[in-house]
Amino acid sequence: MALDTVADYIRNARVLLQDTIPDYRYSDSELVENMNLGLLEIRRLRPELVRAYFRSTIPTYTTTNMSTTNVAMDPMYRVSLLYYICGQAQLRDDENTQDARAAVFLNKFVAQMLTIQS
Amino acid sequence: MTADLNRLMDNLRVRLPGATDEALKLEYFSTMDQFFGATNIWTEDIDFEVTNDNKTYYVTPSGVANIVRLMGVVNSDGVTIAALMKVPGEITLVDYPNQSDTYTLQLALTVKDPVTRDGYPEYPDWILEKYGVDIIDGVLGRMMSQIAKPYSNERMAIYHMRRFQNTIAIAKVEAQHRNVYRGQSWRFPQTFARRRARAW
Repeated sequence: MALDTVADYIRNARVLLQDTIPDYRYSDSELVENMNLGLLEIRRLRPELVRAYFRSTIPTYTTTNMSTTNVAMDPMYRVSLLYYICGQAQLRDDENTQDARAAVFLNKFVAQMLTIQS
Repeated sequence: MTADLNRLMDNLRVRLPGATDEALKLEYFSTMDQFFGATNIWTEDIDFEVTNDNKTYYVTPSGVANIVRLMGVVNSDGVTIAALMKVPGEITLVDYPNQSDTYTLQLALTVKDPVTRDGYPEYPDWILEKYGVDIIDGVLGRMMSQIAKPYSNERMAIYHMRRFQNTIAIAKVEAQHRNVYRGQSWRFPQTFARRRARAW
């Protein structure tokens, strides 16, 4: 299935960020950190998606063993998490065009979490 | 039960785009708890030994279930015995038994944790077979009443909950009649009765 592992998310994020050729503009650790932030946002917006972690802390992923570490996320919302990773990454850039792209990604993330039409 | 459960879950998945199975199971449990608590449809008869020097006895359901209420107690002759249950499972007889005997009580039950490995509550199969379509209404109503979800819909939540409440009322009456069509819903005035019959 698509978007199973941490590496899947990072690879797909690089495609959307147009950052597929080394040396990368966004490092693996930055993108993984964005994914961790995304999980915190998901906890706020759609708690049932991380119900397994109600009695423990939300997992924090690292760049270690990325291709074998699965990300526990319902298949319906994996693309949303991917959009969050991209949006958060583009917030770093200070160009106007990048700001707009960041807003698009982050708004799409929120819209997909809360509505059907997105 | 698996086939009926699969059908129920498929119906819910189709009608609630964006809903996760985890959320559905959570509300499914709550729906069944509400259903059983209001209808007394799931009952269990339990025999227990009584002695003439004790008024308090403890009983537990045989399966994974919570006790909702005590439906009644009879002695070995089928005569109703006055009893209370202030705490579920703790039966207090109003009077000491005249002699050692085997009493039978009936408990109304509801679902309880732990659920099955798949996360579904356990209860008798026939209830899902009979009320499956109506249980869907209950889960839909609860899901749609959640705030800020893709499937939130106040108007439809009210619609489905109203249908579910109707089902609860019907199921409650059918349970009282023991699923007998035109079953007697009244009892002869007790002053005419020579001996009190079973309470349930």
